Amino acid sequence: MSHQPFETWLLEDRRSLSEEEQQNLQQHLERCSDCRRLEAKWQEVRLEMRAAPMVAPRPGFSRRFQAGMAERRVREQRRQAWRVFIAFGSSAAAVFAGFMIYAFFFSTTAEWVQSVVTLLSTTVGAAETTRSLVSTWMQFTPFSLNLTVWITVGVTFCFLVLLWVFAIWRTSLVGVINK
Amino acid sequence: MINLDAAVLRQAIQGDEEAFTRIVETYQRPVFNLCYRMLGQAQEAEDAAQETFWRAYQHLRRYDQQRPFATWLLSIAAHYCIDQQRKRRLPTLALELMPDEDAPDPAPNPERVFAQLEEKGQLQSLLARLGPQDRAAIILRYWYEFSEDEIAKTLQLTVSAVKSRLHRARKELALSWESQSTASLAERRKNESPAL
Ligand SMILES: [Zn+2]
Repeated sequence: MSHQPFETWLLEDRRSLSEEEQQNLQQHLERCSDCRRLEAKWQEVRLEMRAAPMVAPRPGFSRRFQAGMAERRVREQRRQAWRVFIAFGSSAAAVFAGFMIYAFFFSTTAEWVQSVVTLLSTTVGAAETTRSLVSTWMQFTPFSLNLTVWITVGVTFCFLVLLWVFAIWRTSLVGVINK
Repeated sequence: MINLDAAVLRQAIQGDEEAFTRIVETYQRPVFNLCYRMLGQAQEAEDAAQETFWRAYQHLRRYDQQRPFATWLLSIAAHYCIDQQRKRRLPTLALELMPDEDAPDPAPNPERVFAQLEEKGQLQSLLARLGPQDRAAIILRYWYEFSEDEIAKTLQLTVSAVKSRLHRARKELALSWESQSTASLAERRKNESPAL
């Protein structure tokens, strides 16, 4: 016996069927025990679902949400501080490497080694200071900060790094050469 | 479903956190229920519901005010739970007892007498047999009274895809319920037989 379209009909909302379809379905159900069983089981499950309540969370859900939000915000700020630090750090490293290559071609090995050591030691100190400065600053800054502000800060920072490396280069490397 | 005061929503969109907390309080139950029915565990449902509200908070500006807010929120929850299920790739067979309801139902539902499957956790284990998208469609249909059209919009499916998913899911539910009930009947007979 073919169960179609009766199987589809019995699993659908009865109200969506026409009167004729409902009669045909009824006739088929009287003759077909498979469809009758499916119908009975489906109706049981349907009523169970209709009767099952909307489950509520443990009390204090919105308080936990607020706490979680504060935590996420701190985490997000920290992540952003790292991103800024890495971006600035890598631009500083690029400038640094550029100067090293430049200095390598215009000085003797001994002078070069000496200036590298001086530069490295100041760089490490400065980087640490910058990182802590950035993360402290991030604690007080709204977390969706305007992009233009970021770009301005970034460009200024890179310019300062350039100035700073140039100054160190003048005092260490050029100082040695001029002796 | 519950209607949110339009002014509260406007304030929340403008970044008022207190207004957003009001939204959380208003919708915690429907969102949590969807997550619980999808995932089957109270703790996972709690995490998923929290994540839903966090995502809603972050993307509030993108909310299209032509759409009912509840639909938008439930669609975030449904997508998150479907993703979680896919990552897990295992059916939710580990079940736990129902979490407490935080308040007694204001109007006791006369149909509560039917809720026997629910108490034994059988309803959740029936739902757990469905694929995540079919399960989401069934939950939205029977707990939230969503039309096929609303389900389609919420799950980003076509109406005909929703129809066929609902059909398949209903048949699967009926058949698994049949095999579960015959299995438990056989079990009971086996336990009773020595006494006879
Ligand atoms: Zn039949």
